[in-house]
Amino acid sequence: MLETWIIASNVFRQLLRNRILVVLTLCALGMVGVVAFLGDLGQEAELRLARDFGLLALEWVGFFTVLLCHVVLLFEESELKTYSILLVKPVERWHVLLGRTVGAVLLMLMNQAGMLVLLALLAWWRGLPIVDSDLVVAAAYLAAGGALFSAVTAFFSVLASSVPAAAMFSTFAFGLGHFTTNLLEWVEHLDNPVLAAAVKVLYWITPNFSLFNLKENLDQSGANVFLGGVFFWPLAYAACYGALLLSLALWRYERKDF
Amino acid sequence: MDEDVLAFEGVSKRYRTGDFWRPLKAQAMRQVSFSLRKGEVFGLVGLNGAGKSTLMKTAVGLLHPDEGTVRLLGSDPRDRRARRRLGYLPELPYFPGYLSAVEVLVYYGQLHRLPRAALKRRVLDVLAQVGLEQAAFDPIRRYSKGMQQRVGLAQTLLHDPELLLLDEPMSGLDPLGMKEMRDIILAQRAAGKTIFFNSHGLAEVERICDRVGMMHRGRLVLVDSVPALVSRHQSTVTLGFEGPEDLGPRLAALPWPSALENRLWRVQAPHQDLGAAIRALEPLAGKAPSVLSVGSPLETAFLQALAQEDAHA
Repeated sequence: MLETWIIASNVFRQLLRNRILVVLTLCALGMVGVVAFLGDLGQEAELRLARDFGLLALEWVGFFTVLLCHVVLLFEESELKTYSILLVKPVERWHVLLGRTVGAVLLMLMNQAGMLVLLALLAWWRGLPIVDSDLVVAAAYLAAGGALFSAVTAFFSVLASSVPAAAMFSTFAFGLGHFTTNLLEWVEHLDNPVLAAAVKVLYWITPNFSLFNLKENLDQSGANVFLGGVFFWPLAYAACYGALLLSLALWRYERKDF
Repeated sequence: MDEDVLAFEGVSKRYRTGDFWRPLKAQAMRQVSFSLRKGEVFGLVGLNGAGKSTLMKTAVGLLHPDEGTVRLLGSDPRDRRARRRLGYLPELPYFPGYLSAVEVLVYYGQLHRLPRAALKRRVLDVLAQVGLEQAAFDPIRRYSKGMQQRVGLAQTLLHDPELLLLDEPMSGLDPLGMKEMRDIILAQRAAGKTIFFNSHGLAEVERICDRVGMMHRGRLVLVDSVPALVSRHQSTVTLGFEGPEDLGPRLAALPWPSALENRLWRVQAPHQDLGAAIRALEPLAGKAPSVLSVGSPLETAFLQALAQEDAHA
């Protein structure tokens, strides 16, 4: 596992130095500013809106961070052939794949944590009740969703034949993953049994990112997001689904020619 | 000198070249068998697309053979223990431009589990060895192509491997850089390392190698020791002169091959026929022909091997 950690920390450092991600960080800071501005309006509805927008900003920054990380790494692998050196070092291919996935997650966590801290500081300075323990827990769930998305992107980056294709499939999975419950509702309205079965299969194989969105729980004032099975189920789901995807990706990666 | 550190047995490799709806396959390597002995320097030569890089990538486990077996230091090329003892320089290596050579090498040193305390010292020593001590901490984006090649060589030497596989090591280097690369290879040979490298430069191969292999259209058409090849083949001299096209039939009657390029007739004769060739060409040219180039015996061997392979095909 030491090799995985060495690769992950190098990926993290490499991505941190990449200028593309500086733009993303600026966007993240801008979004935090908007959240603070919304909260500044002072009404209860605006405060809720500010918290919702804060979570949305965290989710989108996480999504773009992970996607860009994998795109940069995949570009370097496929176009610049950097892996022709790395894969000949005394490392297993699973070290490389897992290291890449973990490195992207580390950067996403750093971005999200930075946004959250900045938001908390701004809220504290302005005396606004935007950041509380519930928001932090909701942000942690989004981070779990982001980690799962890193596994999804790693999976498509191994399977797809080009960088744009990998980015497109990953984005599609992310988008569809927010509407999995709608897929089930759709099945109930379908008359064609074949189409209904196909949509049901799509429901089962699509990563369910809506599980990590606790905005609804936060909206009900005083609701405790720790209650019931809400707490463990999404984390267990992210761990199992992510492990399955990475295993499939590794199976292919082991056989890949470079 | 008789232990095989790299062995290919009947290895073939095909690449998928078409699209998924129209799959095509190109044969990059056909039934390649050879072995690399401990302590020798082996040069692999061939035209572009001959399959040299495919062979190299198969040797280090980046490509999987469709047929045959490859043994690297007595193990499968994917075995980490074998790769711990291997140094590999890919053709035109690329490193992230925002990292410095020191950072890149420390990273690779960590993967080789080099002792942490000595790692930085070792990195600086190797960078000095390849002539990069002045730029060691600069971002690699400021490096020239030749400097990046040196970083590639430095990562190859970092863990003091017993086997070096170098894919076009002279590529991107200026004449001074080529000389330094040659000196490094010779120093590694003197230290008892086994070296296998690809090259287009026959002169380099002749100067450095104990044995040479020649690849053509995916086949290893010739493997022999350099002294044996040099003793069996003559060097050739290319003579040239300006003349009209209608000299063709008269030149064809001579015992040496000729060709017209941009109104310049080129005649290739063995070194021992030089006097006779000059005397024969002087009346046609109206003056003594110029010596355009002198080809090595290895070049003669290479061209003959290619011609024989093409004739069989």
